[in-house]
Formats: sequence, C-alpha cells, structure tokens
Amino acid sequence: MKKILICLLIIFSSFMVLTGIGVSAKQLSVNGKTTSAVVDKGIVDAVVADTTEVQTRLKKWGYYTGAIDGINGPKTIAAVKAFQKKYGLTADGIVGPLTAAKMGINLSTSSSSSNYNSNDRYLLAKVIYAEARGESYTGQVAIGAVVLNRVKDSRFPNTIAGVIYQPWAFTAVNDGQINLEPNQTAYQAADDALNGWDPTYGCVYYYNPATATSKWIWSTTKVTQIGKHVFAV
Amino acid sequence: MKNEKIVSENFEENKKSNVQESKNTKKKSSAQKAVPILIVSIISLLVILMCLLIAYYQVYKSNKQNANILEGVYASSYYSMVDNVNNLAVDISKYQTLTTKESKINTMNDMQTDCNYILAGLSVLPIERDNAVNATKFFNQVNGVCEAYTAILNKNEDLTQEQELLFAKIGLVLGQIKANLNAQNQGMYDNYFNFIDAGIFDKTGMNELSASMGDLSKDSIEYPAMIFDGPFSTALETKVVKGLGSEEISKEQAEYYLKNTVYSGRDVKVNYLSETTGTIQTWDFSVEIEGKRFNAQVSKLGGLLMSISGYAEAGDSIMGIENAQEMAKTFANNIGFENMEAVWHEQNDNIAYINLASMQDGVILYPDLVKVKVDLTSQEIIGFEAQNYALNHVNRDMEFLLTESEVEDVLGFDYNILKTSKALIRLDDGKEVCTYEFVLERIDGDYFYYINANTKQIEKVMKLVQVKDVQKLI
Repeated sequence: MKKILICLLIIFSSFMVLTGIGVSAKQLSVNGKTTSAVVDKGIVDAVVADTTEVQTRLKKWGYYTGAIDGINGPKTIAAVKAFQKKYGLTADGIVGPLTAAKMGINLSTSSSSSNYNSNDRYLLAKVIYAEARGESYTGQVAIGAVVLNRVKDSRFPNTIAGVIYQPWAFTAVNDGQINLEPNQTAYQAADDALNGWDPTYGCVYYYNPATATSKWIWSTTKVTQIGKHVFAV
Repeated sequence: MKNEKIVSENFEENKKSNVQESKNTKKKSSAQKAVPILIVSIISLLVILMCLLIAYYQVYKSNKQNANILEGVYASSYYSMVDNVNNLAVDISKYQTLTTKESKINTMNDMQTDCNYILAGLSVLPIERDNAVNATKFFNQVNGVCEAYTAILNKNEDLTQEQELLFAKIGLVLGQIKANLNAQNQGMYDNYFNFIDAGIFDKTGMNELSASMGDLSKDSIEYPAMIFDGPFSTALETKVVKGLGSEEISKEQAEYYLKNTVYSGRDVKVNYLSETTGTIQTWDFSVEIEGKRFNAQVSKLGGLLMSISGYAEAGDSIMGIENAQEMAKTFANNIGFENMEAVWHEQNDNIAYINLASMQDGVILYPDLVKVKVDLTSQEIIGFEAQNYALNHVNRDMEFLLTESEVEDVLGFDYNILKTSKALIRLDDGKEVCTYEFVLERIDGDYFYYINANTKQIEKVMKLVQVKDVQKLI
C-alpha cells in the first residue's frame, strides 16, 4: 500500500511539474526581460530591466563574456552577481532598482507611456531578428527598411506594429519566431533602418526564392538580392 | 542390496518432490508478489491516462479560450469597419451638400476619423493580400484627400471644382464597397457566421470579405499628383533622382572610387557583389578593411557613395561627439559631398549618427540630408547613407521676404531663443518652403519651430524628447 501511495505521489508530482502548476514566481524571465516586483511606499510596480542592456553594459565592463542575446541565462546571472559583489550589493543575480541604478540603467515601469520610439525600435529589432538573423548585417538592415517602406506606402498599415502584425504578412509572426528576443546586431540594424538606411531603395517585398510558395511574389519586380533574400517592389 | 536400492529410490523421489514443492512455493510466492505490482501498474497507467486527459482538456480549453478571444478581436474589428464604411459614405454625401468652409472642415475631420477606424480594422482582419492592399490604399488615399483639402481650407483658400468633384468619384466607389460589405454582413447574420469556424487560418473562409474589398481596382480613381506628393503618395513609387547628374559610371570605376577615394590610403579589399536596380541604381560591393567587413553601394549615376552598412560591437566611447562631427564632415567632403554642416546627432552607447545637411548661401537644406554612422570606440566611420541627397540635391532659388524678427511674434511667450537659422524644409505634401528655424527653450523642454519666411505661418513644430538614453526630435 505504501508503495502504491509513493507511486501515485511521484506520478502526481511529475504531472504538476509538467503542466507548470506550482512554479515559483519569485523571478521570471519573460522575453529576455528580468522581472521583479518592487514595493515602495505601498505602490507595487512591475519593474523591468532589459537583459540586452544589462548584458551590453556588463560586457563593456568585463563582467560578462557571453553573447549579447537578451537571454537571462546562467552566464548573465553570474555576471550580475559578480557586479553586485564588487559594489557591495546583495549578490542575488537580479537586476533590481539598486543594481540597475549602479549600472546606470533606467528601469522602466509598466505604466510608462513615453516610449513610443523605443517600442518601434524593439518591434523592428524583433522582426529583423526573427526574419533575418542568419543574414549579413546589410541583409538585416534591409528587412527593417522594407517594414519602414511599407509604413510609408499607402497600400499598407500606417504604423510599424500594424505592418508587422498584419495577418500573413511575415512568416515569423505566423510561426511565433517574432517572440524571440532580438540580439544587439538586430537592435543596431533597427537603429540604422530608423535612421534612413535602405539598401533596397524603396522595396516593400522580399522573399527567399528557394522556399517561397506564394504565387504573387512572381508578379513583383526584383530590385536586388542580399544574401538569400530577393527584394522587390 | 535390494533395501539399499529402495532407500536410494525413495531418497531420489523425496528429493524430486522437495524440488517440485520448492518450485511450487517459489511460483506461488512470485505470483503473490506480482499481484500488487500489477495493481500498481494498472493504477499508474490509469493515473497517466487520467493526467493525459486532464492535460488534453486543459489544452483544449485554453485553445478554445484563445479562439474566443481572437473571434472577439476579429468581430469587433469587422463590425467597427462596416459601421465606419457606412459612416464614411454618409459623411461624403453630407459633404457634397455643404457650402461653408467650417462645416466642410468638420465633416472632413469626421471622414478622417472614419478612415482611421476602417484602416485599423483592415490591418487586423485576415483579408487576402491583394485585396487588403487595394482596400488599404483606397482608404489611405481618402484620408490623404481629406487631410490635404482641410489644409487648403484652413489657409482660407477655396477648393477648385475639380477637387470638389473628387469626392463624388470617391462616393461612387465607396457605394460599391458599402453594398458588398452590407450584403456580406447580412449573410453573416443569416448563416450565424463565425470567423474562426469559417476557416480563416487556411485563408479560405474570408473569401467573401476579401472579394468585397477586391472590387477596388488600382486605378479606379485618378488623384491629382500635386496633392499626393506626400507620405501616402503614389508619387513615392515613382521618385525622381535629381541630385546625381546624368553621367553613368562602370562597375570598375565604382570599385576604383571606393579604393582610391572613399578608402584612400587604407589597406582595403573590395569585391563586387551585385547591382541594385531600384529608384537609385547602384553597384554593390563588400569591403574588407583591417579585419572588418562592410557593404558599400556606389550610384551608377554620378558615381557617388550611396551607403555603407557596418556593425560595431558595444564598447567605451573614446571619441567625443564634436570630433565625430568633424570626422563625418571631412569624410563627406573628401568623397564628393561638399559644403555640408552637422545639423543633428543621435548617440546610442558608442554609436553616433551624425546628420549632415547641404548648405546654400547660409541656408540649411534639410531635404538634402546625409547620415554618417561613427563608432566612438574604434573612432571609425562604419556607416554612410545619402539617399535623400541623391534624390533632392539641386541648386535652389530661395526667397526670404520676411526677416527673422518680423516672424518671431508667432512663437508666443515664455521662451528663450537658443539658436536661429535659415532653413529649407520639406512639408508632408512634398512642397519645399523657406523657413526660419528657431530652437527654443521653454519651461517643459526644448522645441524646434519652423516659421515660413514668406507667409509667417508655423510650418512645423518638433519637441526634443528623451527616449531611454537617446534624444529624439518628435
């Protein structure tokens, strides 16, 4: 009977773990952002430190040696702990307000409304990373430029979010790769595109001729090819 | 002897019987042991099955909930779109009966609101690509017409008869879309249409809605080009290159220019990649310099550097922004972009974007902008962009009828002037106007005002805002 009970207990625990019930909510890593709760004078705000920003700064100061990929993995946590030790902070690996302040990072609260442009930059970096992370840097800038060219074109939605999330416009949105956290290269490519770089000179379409299945792409006019992507109008 | 034999036989028999008994006991004992294991296994299997069923139910429930949420989003977008198409049709009819400027402006504002709601719906609904493109374009252009006409009326000017007639043409096309949409809407009522169940994920269920939008053929309405030289313009698709001259260079000349002018005196490897046949036609190369790789484009017309694309790792900024501006100016000057001034910069960690504008008789020509990207760690130019310069750079005839002090009173009160300049700017409708640029410090921040130097009208106001660590003009 004891054995049976133990068996049942093990099966039940495994089920709970598999279905994600009962996960500790002390620290969550969502989309590359380390989230922690801060209680200050009775006001609770979700405070978010951008992992990419944390990694960039820690790498610059020599605490972090890994890739700037936006993932709050063991290397990043170890680097944060090392930084915290150096500055006499509690070495818990979490970038809370004190650590962020020491790093010179402004923590944005969830109620912030003045980040219109940083949303554009973030969305653009996401689509660039999801669609072209294997391409050359110019190829990545070109993807960002196509999105921005669509925003300016009357045939497409008038916002970056509208263009990116238009149904069936981008494969990466359909298959969920858009939710991957962009790396530093994608952010810089987004910055270039937002600053006017457009290696395609006005293209609003691109496709990979080796994998493209839609018939309409053959009715477009090819302008250039960068890496695997053909850019067209 | 015989007795001995019998004893031995008995012994053997006993031995066999004992072995058999022992085997039986063992069997019995293992059978007894197997029963609880069997029970545990069966219960375990049942529990696993139950867990799987619960997990499946949870996934099913979650999918159903997500589908319901999506259905809600599609339904609200669709009904809002249909309502606003009807509202737009009514507003266009109303407009044609109006006679005063004020009432026309108010109605056109309503029409723009209708268009914005319709466009928001269109960007969400899963409409087949070609049809969505046509519909989006149509409503964007109606929006653009209203914006342009409102601007004309706000200047106290009248619309021409031709301009007024455009609304009648738009009304006709809109009437067709409205009829199609309303018929489909009725069909949805009759058939209890559900977006998700209609198979939108395989793009087949929305055929009717797509067809409703597909009636908008690309050239159904001819728009006056002068109005649509702006952001939502068809004219954007047919840009004219004014700033590159007419002489075409060869691929070899472009390569020579990169090696001997752009990267003069440097150990550089240049490899031809391809050509770009867009608005601006270019020869495209990969450039390797001191272990770093860039892509560079040289215009076929005029043989000027159009772009360098390069990435830099994060690092400490060794170079100051003033030095970066000087470096950018010198670089631009050396490669054929003469008389440029640094007019703006944006710094993102160790990357600086320097905006250089062409100058003519002390006037900043903002449409002729060149951008230079500088890595403040390696103190190298890693990016360059000259599309605007290539499209717009010509020698202009500019007129400044009013003086700076004559236009200053439109700035209002409570400000300090930090800087003033003469500037040529491009408006949203594509027109270039001569202005005075005033950089003002107000209590809530710094502003850039552009006052028309001939009409005293405020053409543009931009505010300096801090977005994360970067200053932007919005």
